[in-house]
Amino acid sequence: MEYRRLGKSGLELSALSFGSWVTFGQQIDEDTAFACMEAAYQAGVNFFDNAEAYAGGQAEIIMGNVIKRAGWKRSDLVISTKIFWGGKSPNHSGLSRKHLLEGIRASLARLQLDYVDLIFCHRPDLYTPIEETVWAMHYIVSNGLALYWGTSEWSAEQIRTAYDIARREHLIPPTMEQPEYNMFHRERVEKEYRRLYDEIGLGTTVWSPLAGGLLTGKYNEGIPEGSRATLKGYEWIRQRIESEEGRRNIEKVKQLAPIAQELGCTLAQLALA
Amino acid sequence: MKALDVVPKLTPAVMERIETILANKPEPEFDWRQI
Repeated sequence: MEYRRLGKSGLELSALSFGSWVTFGQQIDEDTAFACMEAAYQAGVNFFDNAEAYAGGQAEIIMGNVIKRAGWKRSDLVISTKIFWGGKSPNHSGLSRKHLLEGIRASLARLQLDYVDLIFCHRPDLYTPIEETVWAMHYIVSNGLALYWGTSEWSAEQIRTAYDIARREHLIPPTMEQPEYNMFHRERVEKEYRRLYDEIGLGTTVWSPLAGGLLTGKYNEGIPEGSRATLKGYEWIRQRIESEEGRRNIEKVKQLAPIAQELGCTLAQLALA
Repeated sequence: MKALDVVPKLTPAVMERIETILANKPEPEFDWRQI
């Protein structure tokens, strides 16, 4: 396994990480989760990603149980969670100081951990001043509930604003961003954030590197039964695949297949590489 | 994990074929010094 520093931070992450979204708590049980995480760990993966929103907290409970059962050393793991969607009531979502503090404490309880390594603002919040969020994140990191904080799907301008506030107020600035990044979704990582890598040392972890499975070729001949596109509550994935753009992308996947074949790898491996 | 072994195989020639199929490489910012 190759390990890379997260932006300019001192933290080292495996180049490939393990995500729990969709599958944990919805498609697979704890034994399967254990087998998957064990295989990833044995292959050198140290970064395991989660969020309070995944399966309504169930994904964190499963991951916490697996970590405990496996008996891995905490220092060998980089665990993340993301706060934003904690529930429907007022103050159960967004990036207010109240929800961030209550959210991370609830996540840690579900994960059975004292701290997470990474905490993300799962989306930008239209209703909370970025300044309040920066102060809350500074508190969370200063008090050891998380070691690094970052954002997910924030614009370059929002990230820069948070960074500037942190610098001005002598607070801990954001370390990383987790955008969608795959062969079909490149603008943010390759263009919008480009200056941030050098100028503030922004690190990235990414979501949907296989475009929800599209890049594996599994949807080339239609939507197979049992795939996530057939799950209740994920109808939007089916719509995305069946849309005009989805069909165009599937055509591209089919054209990529011979290249993967020549290189002696699968489409998924080509897409990740 | 085998994806990591594929990285060195992505030569400029292979990348060009991939870019041609994808046809979505972000335009770099315009460099006004080139004028």
